[in-house]
Amino acid sequence: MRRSKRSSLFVVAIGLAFSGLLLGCQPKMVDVTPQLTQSDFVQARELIHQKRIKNPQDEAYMLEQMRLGILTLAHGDAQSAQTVFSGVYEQIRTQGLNRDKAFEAVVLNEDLKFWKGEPFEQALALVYYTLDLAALGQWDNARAAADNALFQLGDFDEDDSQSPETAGGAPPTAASDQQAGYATDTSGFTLGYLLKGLASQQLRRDNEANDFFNAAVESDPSLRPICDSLRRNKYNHVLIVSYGLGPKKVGRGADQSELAFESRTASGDQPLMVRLDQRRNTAFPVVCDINQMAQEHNWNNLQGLRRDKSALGTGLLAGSAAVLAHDQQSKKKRGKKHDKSDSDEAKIVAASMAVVGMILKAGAHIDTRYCDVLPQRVYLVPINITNKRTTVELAIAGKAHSRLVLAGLSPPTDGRPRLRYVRLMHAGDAASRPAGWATSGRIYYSNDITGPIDGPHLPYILGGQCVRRPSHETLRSYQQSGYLQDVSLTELEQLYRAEGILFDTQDQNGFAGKHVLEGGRSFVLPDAGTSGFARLLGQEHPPYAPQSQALKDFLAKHAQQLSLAR
Amino acid sequence: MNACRFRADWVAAAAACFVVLSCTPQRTTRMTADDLDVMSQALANSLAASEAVVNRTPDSPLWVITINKVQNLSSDVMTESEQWSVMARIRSSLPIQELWRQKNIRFVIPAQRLHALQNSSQSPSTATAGSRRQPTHEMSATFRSVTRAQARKRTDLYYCEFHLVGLNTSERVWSDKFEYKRAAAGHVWD
Repeated sequence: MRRSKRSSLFVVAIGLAFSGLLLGCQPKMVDVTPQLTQSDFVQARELIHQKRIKNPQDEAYMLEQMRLGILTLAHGDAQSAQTVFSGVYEQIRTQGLNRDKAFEAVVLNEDLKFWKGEPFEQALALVYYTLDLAALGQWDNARAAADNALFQLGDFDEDDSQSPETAGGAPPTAASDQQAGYATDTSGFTLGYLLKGLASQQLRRDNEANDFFNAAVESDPSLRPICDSLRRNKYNHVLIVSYGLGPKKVGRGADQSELAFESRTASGDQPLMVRLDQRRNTAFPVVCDINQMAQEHNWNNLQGLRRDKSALGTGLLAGSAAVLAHDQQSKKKRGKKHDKSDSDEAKIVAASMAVVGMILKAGAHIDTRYCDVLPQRVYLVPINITNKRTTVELAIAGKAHSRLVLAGLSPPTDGRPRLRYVRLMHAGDAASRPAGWATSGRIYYSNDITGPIDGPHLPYILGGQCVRRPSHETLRSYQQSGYLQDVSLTELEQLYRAEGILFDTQDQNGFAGKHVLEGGRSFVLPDAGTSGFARLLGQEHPPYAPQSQALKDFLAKHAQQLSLAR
Repeated sequence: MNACRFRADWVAAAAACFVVLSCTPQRTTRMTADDLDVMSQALANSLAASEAVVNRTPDSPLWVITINKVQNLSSDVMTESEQWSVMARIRSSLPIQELWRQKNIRFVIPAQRLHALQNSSQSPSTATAGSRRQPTHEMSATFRSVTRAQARKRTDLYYCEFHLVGLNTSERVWSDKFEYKRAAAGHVWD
């Protein structure tokens, strides 16, 4: 083969390989689309946790953490979610994270950047951190996180020569901000306003709370009844209820260089119907439509550059074809007088142009990474629970499959309101029936949150219906039920230890695993008033399968006594 | 002579590089552990030198000071352990430890911590722990901040106020505040 032809082929091969590398440069995150489509948030969380990216230097690390944090909070485990969200918060508060990746992003493609999300995704990450901190009772920190969520949607002017303003464009005077201790903004992010107002109210900063409630009403007048209810401060529980799947980020146009968001769950203004202990229904409006947020708050700073790369790449490919065509024409015209070295040169030039064109086109696509676990809409529900073990029924009007019954909610004993995040099921159509556990309204197991259920008491690992932590009190209740008369607390604890069961989040590196009821080794329960709690305790689970020889021997020794429980 | 000047030039260039490298712009305006350390030391010195404390002797009436964790009204999230650690730093600083011996002042475990200890421990002895705490004063602190931001610059001014209040009289016997500023460069969304 002639050297010139080999050179051309070599150049083309390198170009194809490089283009292929650019196209296939998307980091490998676990795909949980099937689980999300079926509203199987538990399995989605498990998969992400098992296969999560552990290296903080990985470009997709923050995205993976955000997905895990949101699903963990949906599960009802605020403690574990805090471990995750604190890292996400650190990343969002770091400015110019991709400063050192600017060259690669511009010349090659945007997938090489650290994922930090669109502004609306950053704001929602901080909203979830707000919810997590509020669920833990840290209202001062929740206020700070909500403040940051509003900040991320500020109208930042790219021209730094302009005079500085406070976040969100409020009239800036250092003295007035110091005096008031806060600054309101004009982002129109109603959910952010409501959460900031809620947190301020818990800190007894009523003027600040009122200002943010007013901002929410100004942004969306349909929220006036909710804000009036919050202002009266007659609630002891706040449910943040979400539904559906947020929009998908796609590339459109030539070489997928145009940013677009496609709805996965259609927007709608159907209210959330809430009923306490089967009393009358109350309707609550949507406070946040994430489909709409995605359209209004994205940062398309490289749009022009991507278009130019695509156009230039197309031009170079066309030019390459033109060079070859011109060379062919020359050959025909000159016949035997045609200089072959000219032809070789033309081939190399054409190949080089084609390679550069392919590389530019391959790198012109947008970064399509997005947070796929965000919901489509959010509701905010302040309620006052006066009776112990109240059931709260939630359903979106016209969507029977979304119905969820939360059991075991009681008035807080410390006088401070509880905030809970609830994720409704979205899989199915208007006629679909929700899963059994979602609507049972029952608690099938004695537990440390709602206490013992009626009937004889025996640990789940011994064939019973109790998942309370072993203690003198629980052992007494087992013995009063006629079981474990000759067993001490130490012996009982040893059985749990032999099974590898862990009682605290700290013992599990700050992230509680699957519960024992679902085949895991954790005894950490989701908070009451969450879909995770309903799913775990609102249905019967298969009997426990002993793992250790110690437990098997114990069960054999006490077979007659324990068979009564089964 | 030329060799000496050459070496001096290189040393100066290396020093300049070191200064430049160590002065790379910050990328976050979050509070750091060093900020809290410096602040705690300054406030401990202020308390030890305050009018309320400086004239006390080992025979002065016993002061038992309980501390609350910091109240965070700033724009930065402070974890609970960070909030407690600010107070713990002040309490464990040398000027404050001297107060024990020279001024008859004691710091005791905060009530919240005591209740958490009693609730988490199953030992009967912890039920009566701290029964003779009987605090006479309470120390508290509040963090606030003000933010200025453009697309590529952000500045946060933090200021923290500390108070020491007599529990019987509700009289403020000492207060002070500490300010520091954090600036960061880089696009807020990037």
